[in-house]
Amino acid sequence: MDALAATSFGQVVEGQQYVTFGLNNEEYAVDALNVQEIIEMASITHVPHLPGFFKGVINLRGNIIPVVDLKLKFGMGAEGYKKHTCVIVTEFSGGVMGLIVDSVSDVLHMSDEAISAAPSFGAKVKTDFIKGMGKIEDRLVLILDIDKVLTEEETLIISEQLTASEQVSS
Amino acid sequence: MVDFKKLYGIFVDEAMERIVDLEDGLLRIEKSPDDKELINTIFRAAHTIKGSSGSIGLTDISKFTHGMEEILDMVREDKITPGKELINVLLEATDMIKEMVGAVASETGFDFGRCEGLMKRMEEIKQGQGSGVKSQEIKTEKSSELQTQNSELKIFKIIFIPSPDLFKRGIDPAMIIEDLKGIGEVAQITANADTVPALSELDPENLYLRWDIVLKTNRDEADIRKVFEFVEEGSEIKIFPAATPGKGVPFIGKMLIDEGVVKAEDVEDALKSQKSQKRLGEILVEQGKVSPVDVERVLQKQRNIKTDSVKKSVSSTIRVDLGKLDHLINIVGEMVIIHSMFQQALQGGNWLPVTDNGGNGKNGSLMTHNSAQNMEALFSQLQRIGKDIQESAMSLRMLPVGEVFQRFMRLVRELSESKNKAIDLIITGEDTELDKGMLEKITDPLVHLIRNAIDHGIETPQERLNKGKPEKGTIHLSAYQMGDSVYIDVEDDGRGLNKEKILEKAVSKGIIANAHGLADDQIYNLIFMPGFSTADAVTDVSGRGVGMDVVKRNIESLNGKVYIKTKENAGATMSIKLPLTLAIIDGLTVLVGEEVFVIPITSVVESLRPRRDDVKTLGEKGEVVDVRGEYIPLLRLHEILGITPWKKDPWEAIVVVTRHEGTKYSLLADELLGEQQVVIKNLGRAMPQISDIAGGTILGDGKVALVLDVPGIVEMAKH
Repeated sequence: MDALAATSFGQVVEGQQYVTFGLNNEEYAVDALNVQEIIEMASITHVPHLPGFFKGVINLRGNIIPVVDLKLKFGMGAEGYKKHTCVIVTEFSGGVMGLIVDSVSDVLHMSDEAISAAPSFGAKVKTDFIKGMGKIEDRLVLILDIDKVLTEEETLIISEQLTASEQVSS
Repeated sequence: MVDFKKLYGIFVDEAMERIVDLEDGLLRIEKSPDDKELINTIFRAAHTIKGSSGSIGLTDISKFTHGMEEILDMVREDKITPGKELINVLLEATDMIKEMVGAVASETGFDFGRCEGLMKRMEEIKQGQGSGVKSQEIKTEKSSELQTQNSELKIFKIIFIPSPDLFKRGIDPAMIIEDLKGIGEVAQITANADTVPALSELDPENLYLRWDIVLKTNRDEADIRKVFEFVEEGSEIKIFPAATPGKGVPFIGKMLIDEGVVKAEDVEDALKSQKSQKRLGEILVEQGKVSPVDVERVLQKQRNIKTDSVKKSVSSTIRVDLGKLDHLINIVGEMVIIHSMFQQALQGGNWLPVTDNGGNGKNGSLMTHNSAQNMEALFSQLQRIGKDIQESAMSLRMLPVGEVFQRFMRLVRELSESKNKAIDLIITGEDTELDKGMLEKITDPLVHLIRNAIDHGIETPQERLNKGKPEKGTIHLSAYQMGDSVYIDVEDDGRGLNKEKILEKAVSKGIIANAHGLADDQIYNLIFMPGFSTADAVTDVSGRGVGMDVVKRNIESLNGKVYIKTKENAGATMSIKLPLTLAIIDGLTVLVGEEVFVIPITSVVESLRPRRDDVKTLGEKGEVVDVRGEYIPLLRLHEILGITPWKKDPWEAIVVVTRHEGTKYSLLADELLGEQQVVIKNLGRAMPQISDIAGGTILGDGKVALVLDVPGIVEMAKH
């Protein structure tokens, strides 16, 4: 509605829509353009030889998509899935991936001014995953660069693990 | 400028089909030169390519095809007869069009200069220089692969200083330049305005400009002079032949440099000494700069580049027979009806005639009973329709093999010519349908099998006569469906496989230690081993030793099998057995821990529960299962897949015996669930490749089950 009002006055709308979600007590956000849909937690089929955060694959209306547990990925404590646990189906440069999160809170619009650069220390999450920090009222939202979360580091970890397991087994 | 790029995809698809028509027609016209309808078909194919390329701004293709069309028109009007030479030229022209279309598809540039040679030859045919063409044609046909730069193309520098009163004589110099374009390519044109006077002194009716023109043409100076005929008076026209520029190092040369087998200077030297029709590769070999093997290898690569671009471009769309689509739409229509019937039944609607029992109080219960029955009937209908839809959707992916088979006509024609063998290719079962994906992957193995048949199988005409066989050899390529498999057979009536020779080779190559205890079948199957090649000499056709094992692997990757049937001096048959489709397989479902896995039935031999005594350990490393006296290595799936199992003892669990590359392995699973057809899906693009998982499938309960890749499991276990 905000966006609509702004355009009717001929102003340029800045910033973009974000989907925010919770991991433990922290609030994160991803660009809404990356989000395909949000689904209930589905039954996961484990896939062998993958790092722990790579939970496996799920059936998304007849298509098989891989899912990643973001809390495990970020090295946060995870204590099983609850009622609100859900899967955010995201599209990124490497394909479609489901992200398991504690809960999805909101879809909101944030202007570019409301977002400040990522801090270089203090965060539990490696900061190169973080595109910026948004402030909504008095809440702090960490905006994730979904491509970075899922590609660079990801492939690195996977290949390391695979080579490691190969070395062990050979 | 209209953006035609969007239309390129459609054009490429259409043109590729027309090219197939062209090729096929040209090959058949050779045998029946009087078939008017056939000539018309060929003509129409060329005409369509010309028209559609021209209409979307691909003028090069249009221009080139035009030349071809003109010749075909002459054939149509009986002005020339389609002899062998003519057909060779036209086939080469077809190849050239194919490359040009390929370049459009892959959005790479195409140097139109490469067409000049063929254009010139076509022009000569048109001019009726038949006798002169003949000898030259044979030469160029052989070297056309290499000859990417036409040496007959000359470059002229023209200085044109027109007489100042040209305008007064009613002549526009721009027309002259247009005329020049008619006889060649105007590569560069510069207007020189040095002699233009100051505005105050300028007579608007006088011409003060002069031009420097660089013209690429295959005509000679006199022809160029002719263009200037009308303006010669009072004008100054200088024409110098320019040296052939070195910028166009022919493709083969560049590739050899890139490959690092030869230095750039050597190529330049060789180019200088390159006579009109000699191959660059040959010169380099003669001068000892490169070895023939290197040239051959690079040439092979060059050919691959040519064909790859075409292959890639045609894979994304599919032409579907309208009848199939109509059928699918009909069934979907039926499903919609069932849908609404279901709805009515759920609402308790009385849509089937129900016997009226009068008001005896039983009516209510009867209705419910009937509804349940109706539901059941509806459900079974829905099931049938579901199956129909699945089948007809799959059939959309099916294409007749004929399209691929036609290509082999050309292959056999050319190879038999170069090998001096007389061979007939007989094709049957062109209408047999195969999954599109499979059809594409089967082409290369088939090429190899046919090459082998020509090279090793069929004897020379003399040899055949001595053996009392007909002089002409026959290769029979056939496709047929049997059960739920499609068979493609390549059968030749040549010398057949030679057991002794195979054994000798296999021993000398260290593939087997000795020939003891090998059955005939096992001996023949040795030719599928990596590194095996029976050819005495490595030829350009086959015998590089990377043949049959690749053929076998490609076919196995499609869940198919190859069988050999042969009789000495009577011929050999290579029979390829393929499943009907790629996506649906029969699988054995097993439970490991809490996970369900599917093992493709093509890899499964049997499943059993061994007795305690049948399981033996080998040292501390491995385990084997004694299956009726045969010791088969036991691989524990839970260990390989990293799962906690319910049952650790094989005599309580289940053992699935599989076969991979002739060796049996038994896989230990917790429980056997059953056998079912599954649709294999990939695990998503974001999923890293895992060697022992072939994909996933969705089970009846909506859960995903992983499909195991047996060769991958075996590999994994070996590490």
